[in-house]
Parts: sequence; structure tokens; C-alpha cells
Amino acid sequence: MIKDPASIKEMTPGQLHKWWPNLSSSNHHITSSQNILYNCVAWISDITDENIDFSQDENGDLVNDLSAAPYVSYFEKSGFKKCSNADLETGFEKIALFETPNGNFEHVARQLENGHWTSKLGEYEDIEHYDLQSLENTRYYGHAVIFMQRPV
Amino acid sequence: MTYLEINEKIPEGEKILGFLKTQSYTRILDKPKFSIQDAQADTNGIAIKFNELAKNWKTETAGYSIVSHKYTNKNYLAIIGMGLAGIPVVPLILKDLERGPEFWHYALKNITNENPVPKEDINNLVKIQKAWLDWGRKKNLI
Repeated sequence: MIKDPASIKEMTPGQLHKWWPNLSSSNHHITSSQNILYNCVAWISDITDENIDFSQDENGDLVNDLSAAPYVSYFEKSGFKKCSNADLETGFEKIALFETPNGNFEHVARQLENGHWTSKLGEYEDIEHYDLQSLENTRYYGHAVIFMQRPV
Repeated sequence: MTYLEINEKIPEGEKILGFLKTQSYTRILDKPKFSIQDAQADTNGIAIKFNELAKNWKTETAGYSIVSHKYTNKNYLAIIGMGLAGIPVVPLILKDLERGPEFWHYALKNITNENPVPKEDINNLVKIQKAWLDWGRKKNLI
């Protein structure tokens, strides 16, 4: 019998843990259903029907620059400026950009008013995670190393 | 990984045979004398191998936010390699695309050397899905 590749869309909490070993039931909760149509960058911009991905050009070819630089520029156009930390500050909305050790952009999370963070996890769900460390790991997302803020 | 490095990973001509061997294309390679013609004729074997590669690709890349990881995954590159070798994987990709939006644009574009997706739609998987399915229907591939 030929297995249907589409069947892998049935994700389980165990698969989330495989990708993000630091995630546990005590440091996050799921806030949406799975959706392949938008990624973490789009989610920060309240876009849920498109990806925002600067690793490809307008023809869908991959580009050489996989760094966070084009994402920083993108968020600057939305009013964000680099800041020094991820601490909750009244009057500011913050985001945290994740990079791998070799400097490739991997993820961005947005801080909520309660100090928690919201993230879209690849093709998986949106989650509210209570700290940034819960998504950090060397193998996939790297670490939160760039912080930006804008007035609310 | 840069675009040039990725291109170097997509084999052409004779290199494809060796590349497929590294991807454990065992059902066909078990034959004493493997040829592209064998692979092209083995419809069921192609579907089995494609589904295995596609499933592994989706499993190994679903957590990533950035398409570069999806397009440089070894399973995905193996599917492109099969297509470039003349093995008919495009109908299988389109069949998978009929089930829902998916990141098949890069593979289809590189295998067919065509691009029916308007530049303004490159980040919209629903529009990409429609463009390639319309293309496939015009080509009588689905």
C-alpha cells in the first residue's frame, strides 16, 4: 500500500516537543490550529494568508543572504527599532529574532502585554510561550539574539 | 547554504544515477543493471519512492519558518533529481498539491523549467497551488 504523504499533516504534541525540546505543558499553550499558509514573520504582521520570507526572491529562487538583515529592515519599516533586551516595558511592543550560530535567521516572536510571547511555529500552530528560552535550541531555531521595539 | 551550493547539489546527467543511489532508490537499484529507462517505466516504484521522500521531507521541515530549509532538504532535492532524470514525478507532485497548498513551487519550477506563478503571488501558497494545478491541467498531467 502506498502511504499518503499528506497524512503527516496530523501533528501531535509529541512532534512539537521533538522540534522544541524546551517546550513543556508548563511553559506554553497552543492558541490556533495548524496552518501552512503563514509563517512567523507574517504572524508578527497580523497576516494569516501569506508567508513573508526573504530567503527566496520574487521568482521563488533561493537567495544567498539568509541572515536576519532583511527581516530587521522589514520590521524597521513597521516602526520597530533595535533595543538591548527582551524585558517587558510599559508603552513598548517588543519582538525577538532568532538566529542560528552561523547567523541565519530562523524565527521571530512577539511579546504580549502580559510579558509572554506569541509565535507561529513553522507549519504548526500558533502558541503563547512564557519565555523565549522555550523555543531556543541549537539544532533548529538557534537563540533569540536581536531585539526590537516600537511604541504602542 | 547559498543558492550556488544548492544548485551544485542538484545533479545532472550521469551524476543523477549516483545521486539516486545515495537516496536509497533500492527497489530499482536492486536490478543487476540499473538504467534511467528502468526507473521511468517502474510506475508503482516511482510512486512508492516519491511518497516516502515527500513524507520524510514534510516531517523533517514542518517546523521551519523559512523556505530555504524546505528547498534544501535532502528528500526534496532527491525528488528534484528524479524529475531532472526524466522520472515522471511531476504528476505525483501535482496530485499531492491537489490535496492542499504545499511548498512544491521550487521543485516544479526546477524540474519543468517553467514558472506559472505571478511574481506578486510568490508568498501565497493558495495562489501558487492554483497556478500549478491550472498549468498541470493544461498539460494534461492531472
